[in-house]
Amino acid sequence: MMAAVKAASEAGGGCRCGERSPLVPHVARIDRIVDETTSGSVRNFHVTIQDAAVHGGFSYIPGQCGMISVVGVGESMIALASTPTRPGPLEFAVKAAGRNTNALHELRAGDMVGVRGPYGNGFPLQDMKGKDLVFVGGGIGMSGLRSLINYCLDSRDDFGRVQIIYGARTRGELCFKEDLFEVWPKAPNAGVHVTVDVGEEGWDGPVGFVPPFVEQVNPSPQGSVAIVCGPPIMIKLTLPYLQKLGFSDEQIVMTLELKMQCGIGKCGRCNIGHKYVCLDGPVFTLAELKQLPDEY
Amino acid sequence: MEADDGTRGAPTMLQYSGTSLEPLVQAALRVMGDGTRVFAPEAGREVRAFAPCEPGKVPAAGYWATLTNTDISPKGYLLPQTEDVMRWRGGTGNLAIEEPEAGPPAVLLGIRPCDAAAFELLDEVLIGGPFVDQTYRRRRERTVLITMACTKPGPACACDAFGLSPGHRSGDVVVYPSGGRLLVLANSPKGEEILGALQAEGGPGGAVPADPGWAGEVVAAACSTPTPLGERILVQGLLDNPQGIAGALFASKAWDRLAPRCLSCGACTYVCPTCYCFAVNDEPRGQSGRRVRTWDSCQFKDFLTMAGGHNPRPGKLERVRQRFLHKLNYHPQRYGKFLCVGCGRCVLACPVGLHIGEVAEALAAEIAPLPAPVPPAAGAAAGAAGAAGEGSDA
Amino acid sequence: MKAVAQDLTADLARLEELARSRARELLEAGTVRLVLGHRQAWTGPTAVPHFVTTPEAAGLLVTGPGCAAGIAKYVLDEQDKEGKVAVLARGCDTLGIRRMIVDKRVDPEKVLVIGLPCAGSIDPAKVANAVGADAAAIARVTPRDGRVEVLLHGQKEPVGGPPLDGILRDVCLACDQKVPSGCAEVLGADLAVLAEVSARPPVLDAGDAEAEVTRIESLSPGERYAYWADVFSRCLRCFACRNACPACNCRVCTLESYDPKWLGHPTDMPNQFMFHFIRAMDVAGRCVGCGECERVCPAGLPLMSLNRKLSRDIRLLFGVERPHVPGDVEPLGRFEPEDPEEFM
Repeated sequence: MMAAVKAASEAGGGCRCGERSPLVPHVARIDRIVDETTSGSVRNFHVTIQDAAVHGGFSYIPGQCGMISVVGVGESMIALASTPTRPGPLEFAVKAAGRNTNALHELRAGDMVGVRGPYGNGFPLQDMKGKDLVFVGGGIGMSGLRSLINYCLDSRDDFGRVQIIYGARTRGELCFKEDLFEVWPKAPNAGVHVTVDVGEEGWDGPVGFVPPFVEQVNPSPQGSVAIVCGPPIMIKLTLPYLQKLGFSDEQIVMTLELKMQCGIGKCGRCNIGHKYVCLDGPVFTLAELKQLPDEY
Repeated sequence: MEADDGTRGAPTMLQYSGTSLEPLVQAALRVMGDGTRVFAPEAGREVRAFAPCEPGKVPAAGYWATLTNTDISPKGYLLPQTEDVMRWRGGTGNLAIEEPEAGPPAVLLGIRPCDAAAFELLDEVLIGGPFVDQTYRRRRERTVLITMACTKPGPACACDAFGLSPGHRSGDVVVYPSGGRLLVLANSPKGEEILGALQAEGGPGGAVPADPGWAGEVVAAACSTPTPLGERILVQGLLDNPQGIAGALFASKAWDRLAPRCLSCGACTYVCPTCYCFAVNDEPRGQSGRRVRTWDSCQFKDFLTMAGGHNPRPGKLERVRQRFLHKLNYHPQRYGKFLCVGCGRCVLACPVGLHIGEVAEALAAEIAPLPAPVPPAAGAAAGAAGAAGEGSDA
Repeated sequence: MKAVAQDLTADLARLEELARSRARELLEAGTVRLVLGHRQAWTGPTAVPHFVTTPEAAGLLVTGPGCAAGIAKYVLDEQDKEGKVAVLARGCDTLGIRRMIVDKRVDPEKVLVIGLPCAGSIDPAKVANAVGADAAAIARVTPRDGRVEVLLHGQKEPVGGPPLDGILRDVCLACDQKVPSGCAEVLGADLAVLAEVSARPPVLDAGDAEAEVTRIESLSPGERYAYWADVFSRCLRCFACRNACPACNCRVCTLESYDPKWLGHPTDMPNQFMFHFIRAMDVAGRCVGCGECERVCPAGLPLMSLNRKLSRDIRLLFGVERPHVPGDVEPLGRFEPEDPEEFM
């Protein structure tokens, strides 16, 4: 029995790091913190794992996440906002929402945190190759999308047209403004469409919620994949618009969020039916999600 | 389980006269080394668990014949209620992280086949898959499981409903008492080592290779002993097509009837040998501290409550449904078997009698309707409650 | 005309009929949307809580000594929903409901308490001891002529058992609420044998009920610590006691709070002690003596000893004759300027 189990576990991927328990994080230093929003609600933490071999070996794909600890407080599962094609610090954009993330926001460059990962299935890169990509993001949801967008732009020939549709409550709340307004609009065969829920002086761009904005941008479903990331309510409201535009369930990719503790599929918490969001997700197609119970 | 990776040939089987387990325990201690602790089921308390046992004072096999299974499962010896997974120093200024040292080896003496099979289910989840729970695996490797086959199943037992039996081969060594002799069977490489040490001891009355004919009969007899609740628990149909029936089970109206009386107390999950959900929390002490994993329960109201307040399972119905579907449908979808060994502890522990027997009956009716039972006439129970008959209502 | 000595069994059967028809009546009239009671368990001699939402389901209601589970606490869960709930309440249940009303967690307008006179409920462990079997082996317990008949699983005929008093739960032997009071209505008040049995004074007076408290108090501090350390080392922190207790009705429980975290999850001894001490002190003066905490505990902890100790202290120190009967204000929830000691 044990031999069979061992064989099964060696067949899978994931960080093994010898016999170190996967629940034990690596020490990482915060190199830099960038306030992505003017309110400070979202801060992007650039971290480097102190053990250079471990940092170098931290091999991830866009859509995967890491567990970030503030020792004494707790751990949170955060999507990687950096891109594997650009070595350097790992970037985690964190919204202050609860006890752990608020504690993280109290930290400064130079402070140490725990990092472990990468976890999750990541985006289905193979299925996206050669396709036109429609990215739909809301608020902090841009974080995981950014990793994917930069990855695609770094391997530009592998992918078709790139359309980025993004919105936040106000201009101040838009994340990754430099990418949004300076870098991505200049990328080849790419279009960036940004909206805010609430207009303000100085903003002469579109005003309105992301879901109807998607219809306005009117991306074509032909040979396309739509990748949707954001608050659950935004995702729920965006789906009907995408379906109206003709996107099939297999063409719509989403990331889900559920409470997690272990991140490695052992603690029994983050299941939707028989799938675990930390192992089989957090990326699911709408077709896959429809096979699962409506309990998330 | 019987199915293995094919690298094992016929297991070593030894026999010896008498019913003393001392030689077997001594052999296990020689293999596992100094400082190995021994645990056995306790007696003399109303609610029984496993407790330390002194080598030299190991109970004889007859002790098990007088006891039903422990009320608290031995799960805690491999997946403790509270366990450090990591320690840190230096806080966020100068952080250093280390893993706690492994503890001493242990022998779990006389766990029942259901509990040993439960550990195999936990192994698949915690050691199998893309990540290995090293803390659990290390503890597993330094623990010897000596299984005692059941000669007389307990009143709430139902292992045969779940594809096991009172003689099921699981653990490292399986002991079958029979007619003043003991049949001792190796079930793992560790078990082989221990039986090797046992046989090497030799001497008059020492263990010798078991007569295959007799051994076969003893094992077959143990494996065909029926359990009291086995035939009442109607689960087998649920394994035929777990993916296909998942939607119907989730949407079943049976949950409206079953769930309300649940106290969300977690007693079932804690006495259960196959429940493994845990929480991870930090316990700081100044700049140092420990990260501790503790048992958690899907029955607790805030099990899934997220920062921001969203709770995907806010009500009892969702939580009760989660527990039973995990055991009877979700785990089968992933592993092809139930996450239940029919030990019966939930039957005894639930203060409101909401356990796998009644739920299985309700779900089985969902996929293959049973004839509607007739409610008992008033007074037929003559002011008393309880019977050995049907308990479900229309 | 010679009065016919009726068996308690016949009265209990009649009470069951009355309970079923009253439940049916209330549901058909739409007076309530739910009737809480008991029904036969899938296995074993104790009845389980039954949520009756249709007149048909009322036919499954049972009453009698198998009904050990408390049902008062469910009223709290039902508060958020529209409409009224009826409870077929024994004395302990009525006290539990009153507890939650005094604590302002239950709206009295939303609950209809229907009293059931009670002859006590059985303790399967005591039955098991009396007939030399395992508790799990008992299928049915039937009162007959002042004794009980015990049917074991797999047997065709019941065996004769001990007197009913010998196998009732301790809380039932000490109960002075067997005729429930303060109810909107009481069923079966005219069932003569049941009325007589339920009107008897408690078998265990306060002194007997508190014998264990006295025993523990007579131990030295070191022995007492060892006793409770052994007890609490077995606590699994499953929260069954808290969930079952009608006095534990806080919206947010200190013992479970994550932010702020008052009590750590780990079962380190300080946490174990503090869980039970905090809970016992919070319940002190409010415990109604139903014993659900001890009944539901999967580890068999003697939790009622703590509650009885504090209840007795309140009786002696605060001059409250019956602390387990909810008054308008609980003893520790009241401050008068004339109190002999200052507030802190």
